[in-house]
Amino acid sequence: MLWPLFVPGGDLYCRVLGWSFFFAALALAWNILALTGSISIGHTAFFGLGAYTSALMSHYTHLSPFICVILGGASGMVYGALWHFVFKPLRGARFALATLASVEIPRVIVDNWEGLTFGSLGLVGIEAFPGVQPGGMDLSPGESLKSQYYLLLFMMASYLLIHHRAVRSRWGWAMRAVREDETAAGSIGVPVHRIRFCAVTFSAALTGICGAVYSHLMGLIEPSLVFSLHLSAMPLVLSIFGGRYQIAGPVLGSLILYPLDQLFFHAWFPSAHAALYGLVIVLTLIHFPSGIGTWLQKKLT
Amino acid sequence: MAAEEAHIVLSMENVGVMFDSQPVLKGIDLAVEEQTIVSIIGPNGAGKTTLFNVICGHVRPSVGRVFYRGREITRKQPHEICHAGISRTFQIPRPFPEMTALENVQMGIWFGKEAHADRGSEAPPTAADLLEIAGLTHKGQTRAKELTLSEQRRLEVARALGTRPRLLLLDEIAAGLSPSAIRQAVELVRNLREHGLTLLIIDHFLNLTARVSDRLIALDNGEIIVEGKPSEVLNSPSVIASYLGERSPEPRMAETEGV
Repeated sequence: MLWPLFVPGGDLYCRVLGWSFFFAALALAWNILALTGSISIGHTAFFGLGAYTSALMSHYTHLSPFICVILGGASGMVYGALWHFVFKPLRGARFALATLASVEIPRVIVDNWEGLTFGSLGLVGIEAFPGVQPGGMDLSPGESLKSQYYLLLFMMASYLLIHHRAVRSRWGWAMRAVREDETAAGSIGVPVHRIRFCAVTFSAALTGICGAVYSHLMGLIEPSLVFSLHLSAMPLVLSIFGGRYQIAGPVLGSLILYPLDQLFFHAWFPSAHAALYGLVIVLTLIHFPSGIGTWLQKKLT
Repeated sequence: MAAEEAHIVLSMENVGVMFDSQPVLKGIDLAVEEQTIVSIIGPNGAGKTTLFNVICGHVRPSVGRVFYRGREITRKQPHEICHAGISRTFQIPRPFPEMTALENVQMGIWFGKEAHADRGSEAPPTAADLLEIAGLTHKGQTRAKELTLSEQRRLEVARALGTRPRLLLLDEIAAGLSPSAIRQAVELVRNLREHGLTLLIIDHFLNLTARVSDRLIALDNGEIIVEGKPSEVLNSPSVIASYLGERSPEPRMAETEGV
């Protein structure tokens, strides 16, 4: 994981692996809600809100990007709380559709409130993360790909820790109970609504932080980019590919699929890489219905 | 009067439930005394399970109030009612399908009544103890979805007991069981009462009612039509008419079969 320290060059691998960590974090954040059984296809709402909140705060107040990122997470969290109260009676496909529809509200607002958000032109020149010097190293994620790599690695590692708690703690068992049978869970004393609320707000906050980090790393965002269906589908695909109920499932999915797509499919079939990507996902769903992670675990034990 | 009320574990006042503007329960008044076994009987669609759902907070009554040990629980959420000391099983068993039997029971222990709530009394039972009571020790590591129907029913009882209830609601635990399994169920129910529990049982097929109940409540069309001692209720003309139609010998058969 720390190989860039010792290998000179290798920018391409730094970038691809770095971003696969990023998508792993996004998938982990998404999966925290999915652990309660709610499949969302609208997480890009949190992503976009996080990205815009952080970028605009940075633009108007010149606060440190690190503080803006936290505020981006908070904006996602507020929208997640709203989801909880508005979508309370919805389950399954109806819940999923509602989450998809809910992306349009922030997107249309950002698109049209040009005075504040610069509308569909997007924001450019978003302040990059300032350099930090932990232990004598010089890391400036805004300038060097290696620093970006470490930032994203750190991000994924913290998300993995949170996800680990979410699966293995007593809260994790409560989420599992809600997922397996909500009515029965309530009858044995699991506070179903509280569990669902915590799951959705946590998941939303972490996704908002992802969006915020994205905006400061890329330096530019526009509504169609950060509120895109692609960003909603990505974590779902990666988590299901890797194994939703495994602690490292979403990470596994991301570390396999994203580099596969970027390094090989892109190089071989520049114009049709998405089709190949789709094919791999379909084949996995058929042959490894509960994900690569679950299959590996069975093989190893 | 006050002393008498102190023995009342559960009471309902004029409870009514409407589904799609159809009344499912109407003007239900009942009181269940401490450490008794009360059975609710009635034909399909009489409102028995809805009554359980109201008590446990899964269905909100349109009118009326429900009290547990003098505290109103009418609008409480299911987990709050569980923490207060009421637990239940379901007509169609609802164990957590992907968890093992042992894990299912452990869930009840973890999330049921707070551990400090009955400090001072004997140590709470472990998941293994409860599996033994349910006769499932050898199935501890089996996933709940792979158990038979009767095993799932017993697992649900064990899981419900894990929450340390004072009032246990059993929905059709004897339905579809063999005569020997029914005998075991009868024994289990009596045993639970000996340990201080109050039991409310739904028994559509009258497998348990006559043998274990202190009192019977007969429901029909969402209303209580008769209540009292088992022999009185089972032989009351209105119960026979509503419930058994032309055939009357079924309750007597349950008695002559013995235990």
